[in-house]
Amino acid sequence: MSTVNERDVLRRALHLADGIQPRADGLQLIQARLSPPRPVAVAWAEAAWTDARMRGPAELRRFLEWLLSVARLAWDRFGPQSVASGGRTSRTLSWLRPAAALGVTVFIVAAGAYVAFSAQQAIFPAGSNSTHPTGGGGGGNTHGGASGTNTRSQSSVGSVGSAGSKTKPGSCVTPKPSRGAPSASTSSGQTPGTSPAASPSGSSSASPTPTVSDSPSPGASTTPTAGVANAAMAPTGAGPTEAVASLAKSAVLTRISVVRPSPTPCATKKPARNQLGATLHPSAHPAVIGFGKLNGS
Amino acid sequence: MTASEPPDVAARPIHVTETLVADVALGSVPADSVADEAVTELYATHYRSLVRLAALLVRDTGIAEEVVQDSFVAMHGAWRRLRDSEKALSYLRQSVVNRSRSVLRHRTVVERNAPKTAPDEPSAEHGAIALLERSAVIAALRTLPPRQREALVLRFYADMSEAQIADAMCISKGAVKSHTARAMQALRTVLERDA
Repeated sequence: MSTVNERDVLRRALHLADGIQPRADGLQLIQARLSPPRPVAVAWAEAAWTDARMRGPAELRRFLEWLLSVARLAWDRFGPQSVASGGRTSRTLSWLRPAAALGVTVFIVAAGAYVAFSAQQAIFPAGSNSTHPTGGGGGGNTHGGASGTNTRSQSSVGSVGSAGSKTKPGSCVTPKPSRGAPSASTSSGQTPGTSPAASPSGSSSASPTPTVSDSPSPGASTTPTAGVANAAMAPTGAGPTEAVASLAKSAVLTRISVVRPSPTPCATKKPARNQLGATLHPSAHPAVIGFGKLNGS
Repeated sequence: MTASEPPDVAARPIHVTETLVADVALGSVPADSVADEAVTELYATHYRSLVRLAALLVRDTGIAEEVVQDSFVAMHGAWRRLRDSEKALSYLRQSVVNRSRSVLRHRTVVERNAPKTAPDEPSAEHGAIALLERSAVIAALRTLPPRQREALVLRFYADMSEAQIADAMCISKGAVKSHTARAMQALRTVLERDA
């Protein structure tokens, strides 16, 4: 066999391999191998998802599917961009977008939580949570805020007696007995001629001296003033208007309600009885007492 | 490129991969995108011939495809070091030859230690391989040492020059000549003995 024939024979034998046809999906296989591998966290999440989907009930399954679709949308929107579109630098920088999205989300959640907490504090202050009828927990709200307890106490005092807007409800404030001048405390910025009886509540706020009222002596010292005022209004017949008359009535009510010892912080041993005959039971509400006296008068 | 083409056209790169490399040099196209395009282009033009070349070396079409796919993946990773399509094709051939050697080496170890199993039924896909195996020349080629067989396959199937064979086999031109001459002598001896 000559050298040329040997080469031709060998070449023809080798070109029998031209009948070999590789599979058509070679390029797809290469591209699949060129794509970056899935992160381990993603693989674990998919495994957990499959396990939860197989074990959970139908409702949980639908919820998880919905959650997965939302997460997928979020990942498509905020996830890192394709690695094939950039080099190593862009591969590193591609995580800036998801990091920024995560940071914004955390900031929004934190801000929302802070605003919600602040709004809760503004709407429902800490002192308004007390439901004690005597305002045991309402000591911090001296202006009669929007709380129910204070409003009720003030409505019984302040609405009837207009000068009692500064009354600290339930603080067991009794006018300090001034034996020399029982009505000396009645001039706390009030006009003596118009509302002389409104002073006790004013004096109660002016000099809040909480004392345990074991004895009804304050009532004894202040009630005559009211009686004098009431008597001075009524029999004179100087033509007082209805407003003045109602003011006089309210003065009586205010005095009664203010003089009444508070039951809870300053528990009285025995019920007090004022000059007008109204029994001031410790558990009775000032408003009840006041209206009861109003009906009686 | 022909001589009738205008000079401005001749000055431009005519191959797709060369165009992409030129774009990379200008900084207009990302490198990974160029590598993807080069893989696609080289796959369309040289994938089948490389698979057949690997099949001649490893005697298995499936393994030959895996070898060539591995070579493409390696070329994609090494694309920054490659400048043009010729170097990429040379890189592919060299990678195919080296990986075929690795396959044969691994197969030798496996066949030495693994128990023998019954051969499977040849499928239609293996028809070409079976036809190839029935050839006396190919059977004689199997008896040659690996380097001599590689030299003959690259020389008479891939029609490569001595320089290209030397580059693909990572040997010198003189070694290529020596391997080719000894392989032809051994093949002649085997065929005369069998005849």
